[in-house]
Amino acid sequence: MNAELNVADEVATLRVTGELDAYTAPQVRDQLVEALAGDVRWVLVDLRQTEFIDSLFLSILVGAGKRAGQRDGDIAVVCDREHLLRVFSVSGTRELLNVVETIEDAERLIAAWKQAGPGQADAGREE
Amino acid sequence: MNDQGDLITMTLPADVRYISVARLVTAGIAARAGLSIDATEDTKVAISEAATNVTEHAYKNSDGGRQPIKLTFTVRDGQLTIAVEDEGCGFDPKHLPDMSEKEFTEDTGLGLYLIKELMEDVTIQSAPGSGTKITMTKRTAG
Repeated sequence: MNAELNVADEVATLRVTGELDAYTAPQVRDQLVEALAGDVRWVLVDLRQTEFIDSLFLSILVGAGKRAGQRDGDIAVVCDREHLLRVFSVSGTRELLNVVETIEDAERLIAAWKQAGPGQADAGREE
Repeated sequence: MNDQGDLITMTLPADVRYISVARLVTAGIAARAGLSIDATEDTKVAISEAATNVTEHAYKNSDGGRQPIKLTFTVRDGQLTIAVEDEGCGFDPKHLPDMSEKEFTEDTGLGLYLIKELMEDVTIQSAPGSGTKITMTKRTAG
């Protein structure tokens, strides 16, 4: 597993390759917690190169989303792999974590949230 | 294959570093059993969750060290049945979380819920001091 975190303009972008389970996911949690201790309000998690996710990683994303929400921010997840999308769907976290299939969709979503301002987290979501 | 099916048993250290090994083995056996790619992916998630439960909870309050996780795979009649056993602290099944409830707390995963949703015939046997056994099945059809 490799996780690369970049922070710019209040957005933390995390790109993960490989597998996320109870051994590897805590490393990602530490990175997200550190980012959200700074001036980050928005989190974009790119899972296009991720092979596996489990419930611990979902819980970490939910936690990151909650922390972002406390700062009037939110989280968006990019995932285009069917077997991972199934885990999001079955767990009921697909909408909660704003899972989209392209990086452009995620960037559009975050741009809309920023423009809408605090308390307007539904902005940018398709009806 | 005999009447009881093909039986594969193995043990792994109760250590999070070996959960990926459980997934790898499961993928190989699932292919041998004829599971579809989707069914294999479901099974990999389920075995990972079950093994994680052992590494995270079974030996949390134990002074006796960590005994290995025992994995038993049975391939029979178009289905793969997996048992994941530990010799940890166990628990009173009355305290099992409602598996129809999703838990979104950060430290309590959705593991059991995912296992139930992704697999069939899921059973959990446990008693305080006597370890835990999770059994689950995936069928080749459906």
